Amino acid sequence: MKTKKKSAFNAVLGFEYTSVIKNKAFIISTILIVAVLFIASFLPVLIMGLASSSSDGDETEKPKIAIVNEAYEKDDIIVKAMKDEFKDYNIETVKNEDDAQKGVKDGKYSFSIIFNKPLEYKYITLTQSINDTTTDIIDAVVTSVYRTTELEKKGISAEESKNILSASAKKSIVTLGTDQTAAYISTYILVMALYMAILAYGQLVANSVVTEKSSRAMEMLITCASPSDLMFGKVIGAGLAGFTQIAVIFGVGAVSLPVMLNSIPNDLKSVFSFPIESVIFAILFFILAFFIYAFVFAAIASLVSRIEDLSNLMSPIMFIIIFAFIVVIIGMNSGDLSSPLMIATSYIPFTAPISMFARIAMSNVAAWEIILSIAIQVVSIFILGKFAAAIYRVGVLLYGKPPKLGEALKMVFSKKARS
Amino acid sequence: MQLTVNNITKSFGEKEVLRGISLNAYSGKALGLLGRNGAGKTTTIRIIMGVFPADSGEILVDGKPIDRNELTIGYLPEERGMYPKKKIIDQLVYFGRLHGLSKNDAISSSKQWLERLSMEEYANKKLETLSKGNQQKIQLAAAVMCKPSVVILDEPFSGLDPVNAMLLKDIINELIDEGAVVFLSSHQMNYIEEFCEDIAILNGGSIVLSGTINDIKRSYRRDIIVIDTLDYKNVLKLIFEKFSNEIVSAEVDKEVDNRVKVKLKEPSSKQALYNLISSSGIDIDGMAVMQPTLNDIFVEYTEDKI
Repeated sequence: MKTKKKSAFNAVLGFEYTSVIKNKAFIISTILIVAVLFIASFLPVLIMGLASSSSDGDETEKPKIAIVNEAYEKDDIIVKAMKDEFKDYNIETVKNEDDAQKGVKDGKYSFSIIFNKPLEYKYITLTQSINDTTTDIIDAVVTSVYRTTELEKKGISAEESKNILSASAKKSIVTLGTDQTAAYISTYILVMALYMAILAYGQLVANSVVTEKSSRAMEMLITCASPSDLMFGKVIGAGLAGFTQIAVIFGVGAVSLPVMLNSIPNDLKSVFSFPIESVIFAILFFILAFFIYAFVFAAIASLVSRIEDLSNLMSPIMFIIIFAFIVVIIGMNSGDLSSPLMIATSYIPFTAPISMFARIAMSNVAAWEIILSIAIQVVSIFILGKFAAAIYRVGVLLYGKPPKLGEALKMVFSKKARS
Repeated sequence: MQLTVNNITKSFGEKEVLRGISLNAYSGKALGLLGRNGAGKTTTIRIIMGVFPADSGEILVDGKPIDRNELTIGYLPEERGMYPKKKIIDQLVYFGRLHGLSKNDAISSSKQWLERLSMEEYANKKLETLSKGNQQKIQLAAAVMCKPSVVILDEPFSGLDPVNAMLLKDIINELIDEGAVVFLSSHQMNYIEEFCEDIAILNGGSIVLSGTINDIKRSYRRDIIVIDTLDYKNVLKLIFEKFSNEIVSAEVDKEVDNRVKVKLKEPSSKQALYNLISSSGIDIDGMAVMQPTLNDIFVEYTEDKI
């Protein structure tokens, strides 16, 4: 007696799973994400490779800087200081400003610096871009040369004065909890991915429900499978397809990310490394979020008979997702992940997946808090699933103008009371 | 097998859609379910199929409450449509599996049906690339491929060309011969008369007429006589001269050539009329009591109601 029911659920599940897997948009998005991952992972290697090969070139190929020294008796101090700062350039001294200007105009020099007085200089360039930092460097050169020469006059050698001037505090940071700066980018990427995945999969489930209704396939489906088999089969089938996609993406990431980490400088490594716990929590919270939202989307979509009407009914729930996302991003940027709002949203089923995930990834959250949040989400999934099935049962045979949410709920309860 | 619908009622909100429907349908027979749009046919069908429960009343199979897990019901809804963007073979297999077939059985059954409908070459095409009639054939296959013991066909002939209509007729006759309980709902009365021994006419949520078509027709006053003859002028002349006291009217039939239609005051005077005409020596092709058509009966029972 139960076998037929079970086979109906399995049939729906299998059909929905393959429909999603074979869906063009699904395949293309998977390929795109994998491609981006790959390029991002191998790009640093490529760039480093190109950069190192170009620096092997001839000395004469280096661009030139012209300097005019009117500030000091000897050129050597200033030339040396310039050389230290502009290693990729050749430094040439010219007699006067006119020659220097002519040279820049002709393209012989990249730019030129006229040192008029010990603490005054003129920067001659063809174009001044917004992010030109040359003057900042020259400022440093000018002040350091000035200090060295002045100290030398007072009998302190260049060597000694350099040591004194360049003295600075050495710091080492001991992070006992989560290092927010290191976790920021990886968390940001995972939060973004969570947010987009929830939207994309919710939309996918909703579209698939409405398509069945608008094509009237529902008329036949409803006679050979129960509405709850149809809904749970659909939601779980789409969910499994989603996990397949995630498995592929994370699989590729697991292979390609180490390649990238090996090729980038050490100080960038911490930024781009994804702690394994974060990744596991991201997957866990995606699963929870998927079911929470998929049931809601399926129930809403069952009330609509045309795809055009879908966005209207979906907007309140969209608003909640966007709200959760914004709260979390603001929380992450402020660095205060334990603000009352963040804590509250990490226990509300609809916002908890994103909010709790960000808190875990970027701050220290007690185990009981994590367990409580997950427990709330799991319970919500069961309640929402039951609720969605009840709405679905009424919704799938409604055609015409979609009812208001209140009307729909009224129908669900009145029907329950009677049957 | 006997499927009994026993006094079911259903309301949606304030609206009372079914007010006590009772029906009997049997294996190896087709029951014609007639009614105007909105009479309650689809609701009745959906309750039989278990899409939603009736407010009161029951559905019985051989006297016991229906168990839909054991009984397969094939349904071709009036609103046509499956998945427009999916391959035909995939959809057929899916519906086969939803009806409880194993994957292999569903695949082989789908292939058989495509062959039967001479549509093998479309197996891997998307449904939306087919003509409306062909889409309907696929949907019919999806409904009956699991060899259901109850088949419900709602307007199965609409949109089919004569060749496809013939094919569908063969399939329906086959289902009946194999012992399925067939429900046929249609506004095309000729199809109902062709397949159904029994009919039930719904109107305003109640059954206004049910029984075998023959009994229903026979229950009508047999007071109209049609006489087929080329010499209809002399027949009319004869009737008015010698039989005018017994008739309400006599006239040339407007719809059929060379036919005279006589309405008698009393059906019992039929024999006297036959005798009068046959003894007159006028060349007569045939004389008979006119049967009401199903169309006439339908209109009579459903007009001005709802």
